[in-house]
Amino acid sequence: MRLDVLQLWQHAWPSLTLLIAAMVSLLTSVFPSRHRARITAVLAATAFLLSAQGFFHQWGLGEAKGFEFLVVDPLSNYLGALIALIGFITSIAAYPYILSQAEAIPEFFSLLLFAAFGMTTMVMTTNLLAFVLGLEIMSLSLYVLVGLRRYDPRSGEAAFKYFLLGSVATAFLLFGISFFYGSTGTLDLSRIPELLPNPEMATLFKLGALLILLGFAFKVGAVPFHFWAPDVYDGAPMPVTGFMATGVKVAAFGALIRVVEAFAPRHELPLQRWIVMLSFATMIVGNLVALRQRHLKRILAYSSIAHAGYLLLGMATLVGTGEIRAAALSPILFYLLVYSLLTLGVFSVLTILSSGGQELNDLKDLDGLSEKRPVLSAVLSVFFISLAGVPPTAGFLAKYYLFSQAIQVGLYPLAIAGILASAVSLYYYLGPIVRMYFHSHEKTWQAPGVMASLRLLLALMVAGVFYLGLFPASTLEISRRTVPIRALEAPLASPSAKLP
Amino acid sequence: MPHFPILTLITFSPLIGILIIPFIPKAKESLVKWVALISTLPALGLAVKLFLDFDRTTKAIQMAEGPIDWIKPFHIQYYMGIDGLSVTMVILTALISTICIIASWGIEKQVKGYFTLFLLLETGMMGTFLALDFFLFFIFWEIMLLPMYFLIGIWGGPRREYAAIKFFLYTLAGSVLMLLVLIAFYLYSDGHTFNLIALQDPKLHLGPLSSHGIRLACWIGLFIAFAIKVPVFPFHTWLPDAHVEAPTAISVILAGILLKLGTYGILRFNYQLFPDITVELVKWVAVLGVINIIYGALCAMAQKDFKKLIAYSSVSHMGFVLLGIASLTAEGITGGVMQMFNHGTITAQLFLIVGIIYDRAHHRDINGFGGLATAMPKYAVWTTIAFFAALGLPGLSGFISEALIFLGSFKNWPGLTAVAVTSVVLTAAYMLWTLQRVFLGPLNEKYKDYPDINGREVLCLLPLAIIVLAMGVYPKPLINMMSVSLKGINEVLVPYGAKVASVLGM
Repeated sequence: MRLDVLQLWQHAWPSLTLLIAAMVSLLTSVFPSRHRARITAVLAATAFLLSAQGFFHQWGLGEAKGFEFLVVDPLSNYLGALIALIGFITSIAAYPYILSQAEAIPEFFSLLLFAAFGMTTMVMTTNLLAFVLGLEIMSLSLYVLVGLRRYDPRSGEAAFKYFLLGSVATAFLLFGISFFYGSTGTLDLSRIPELLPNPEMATLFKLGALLILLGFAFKVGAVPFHFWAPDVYDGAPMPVTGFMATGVKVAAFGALIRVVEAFAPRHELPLQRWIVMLSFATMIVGNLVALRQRHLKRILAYSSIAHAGYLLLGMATLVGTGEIRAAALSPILFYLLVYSLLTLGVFSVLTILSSGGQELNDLKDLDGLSEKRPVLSAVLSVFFISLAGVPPTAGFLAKYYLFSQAIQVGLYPLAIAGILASAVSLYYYLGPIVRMYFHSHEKTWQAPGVMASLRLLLALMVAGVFYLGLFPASTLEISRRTVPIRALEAPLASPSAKLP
Repeated sequence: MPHFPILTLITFSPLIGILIIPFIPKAKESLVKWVALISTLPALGLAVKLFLDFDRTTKAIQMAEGPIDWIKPFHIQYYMGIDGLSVTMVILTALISTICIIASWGIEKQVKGYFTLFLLLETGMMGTFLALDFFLFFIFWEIMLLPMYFLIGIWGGPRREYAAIKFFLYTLAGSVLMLLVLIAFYLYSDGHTFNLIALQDPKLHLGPLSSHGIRLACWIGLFIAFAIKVPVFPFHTWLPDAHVEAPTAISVILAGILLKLGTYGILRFNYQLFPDITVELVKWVAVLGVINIIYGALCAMAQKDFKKLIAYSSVSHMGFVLLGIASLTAEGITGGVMQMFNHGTITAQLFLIVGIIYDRAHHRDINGFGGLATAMPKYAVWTTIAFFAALGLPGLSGFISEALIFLGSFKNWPGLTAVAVTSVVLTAAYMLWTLQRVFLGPLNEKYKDYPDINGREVLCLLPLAIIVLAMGVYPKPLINMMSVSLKGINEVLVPYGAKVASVLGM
């Protein structure tokens, strides 16, 4: 079957827009430096917004279509829209930051676009090779982005570490894929249900599935494959950390949903036990280690690990049986949306505060911020409080949805561990708030005023935190109508499957 | 038929102030206080209307709003209503909130933030008393948590950070337990409902919720969540710290209203959702109540810090509430809820009184005062009224509720009641001893020129003192409002083996 270019464009244009914009933005290097940054920033923001709109439009059409190796279905469109929005917010929040750097690097925006293109590819496929392709496009761009402050040795160290450990993760994944291919003869996950159990290849198949899972566990920062995250988060420039903490999570979990969906019916795999163990370790370690951190970005790194643990709990719920499966996907999708909103909110404010040329680093740097920047402090507090899961904000509802579904399928110990772990998390999220409000201020703030567009964006995001917490019904409906292609075809897990 | 949404207005009207305060220019900060005061007045006015319109002849929920679907996918509804149990608490909340705004007039640090959080706190408290949907209740319960944390942590005393985080962690632990019970109800109730009134029907409790072990676990989980708030021994250690560090008005709110949420929760949730377990475990509630009474009184006696003394007297007085509601008699429960109201009005006065002297002396060491009656005679009179009310002098309101509690509980727990009665002596001892140390004896030269109590301070104390006097002489309006509903709560326990007794034929 020949790939029909026109048809491909018709369905995958939101993703391809990002690629084209990335290429075009590279050409802008002919302009003198000052304008160059502005032009690429505007180009990137426009492309992200256009792409998000495109994904959302296609989601509304609700169709599911498979190409040679690409899949366009509600799931890919939902996650694609989320990724594009993450890119949009990052590019707006990062603009003053980039200008403030010792050398303004407009390539930041091109790399952002490339990385986002890689991410959308990851969520738009069921083909394992295409996963790797998307993963590498994303990762290579991110390695460079992490090392963007090349005059700062910590940035360079972080980039190198990320590169080395990221390569190990890819190696895991490729190993797993080769075992999978060797035992089944296919690279397409969507063909797994057709495969008959092959006793001779059972071990190989199992090993392949495990290695693939571990490869993704690495990317989402699941314990015990999380060691890279704190160092990389700490060394990367602030807006890049925010982009990584959200975009990579969405893309990797999107891919993981496909993998888990595909392997779930194979009962010879102890898939649920694997994920339960991962989730348990990730929630506990992430939250407990975060308590002892003194650096802002390290706290956020462990927080993102902890949230990966909650999402893995959702994954364990997903590996249920029968009707519950469609109902179990929507809490994960809702959680990804809320987590991205909150984490980006935190990082946007921190990026603004780091735009004075000096990177915000120690918790102490926040001392007395409430006196100097009362509005920014209040906004930052809202995001932190919501991340901790305090009602009536979005963070609470997302967690409530996730945990109640896990209890529904009988994962009692895991859900209770999650609830307790998330109660613990409130303590370290309060840390920065205590610094801002309870401590007196010693340092002078150099961070500049906030652009009008960024102000508007932050206001919308704060409104979103309360909107999703108080009136989530319509957004929940969106997440519940978002199903992968297989579920659309199989009546068993139809979107109308009843939730309790 | 849609009617005047009085309960919604009473809950959310303080938020009007929050919308206005951010736009007041920094140069006119005194305006913030006026805006805050004015935005508590609608709730106070509506509380008066509630007092007049409340139907005293029915135990059913009145003036209900909803249930209407709020978050439909989760079967969460907006459902507010009032009955004899909550009506007095709502009136108390409205009154104390307005008084506390006046008592906060001296706040100078980050004025806007203080009053914004204060108004948010009022909304949270009102909502918690009025919500009849478990999820809605939980949201309001949590909304109270953060403003309180900041109000102690930013405007508190020297060890405010420690006190704030301790308060926060204790309450949070309770919230987690409540959340687990909440999820259990969501999953295993017929129709996945959170409607607290509907859930009183045990037929709706399905699956694990109908097994004895899980019900026991849920009851204990809820009890601990509320016991931390009351606070019941041994969950009380956050209270003295929080009180000592909190600014005066926040101490008043804490003791006057927040503590009542604990006992309110026990009556609304433990008693009405799990009557079978309540009958089984009620003896232990009574035992804990007596421990609170005696332990709190003994601790109060040992304190040197004026405010800590009042804080421990709260622990002791909340023990009376527990003993009353554990009596399973109409008198005892009525006395218990009445004690909630009386303690709210009396202890609010006590904390205001401590605040008045602290504003002048900037210390609270009881032994450091002496002979203040000479320097501040009017202040001494106000203090004496409040102290005598607190120690249960006949003719003041505290006596009525304590007498009802003892009458009721003697019927079922004669031994425990006998132990509890000794506290009358203990309370009198520490109250009178404190009066003596602070007001009598030779006047300390340092305090000679202290101004006597001023008009604003009298304005705070006067309404509370009037209530204490009036309810002491003629408590009938208060008792009438609650007795029918409380009798209903008590009667629900009969089928589960409770020997409901009535002494006075109430």
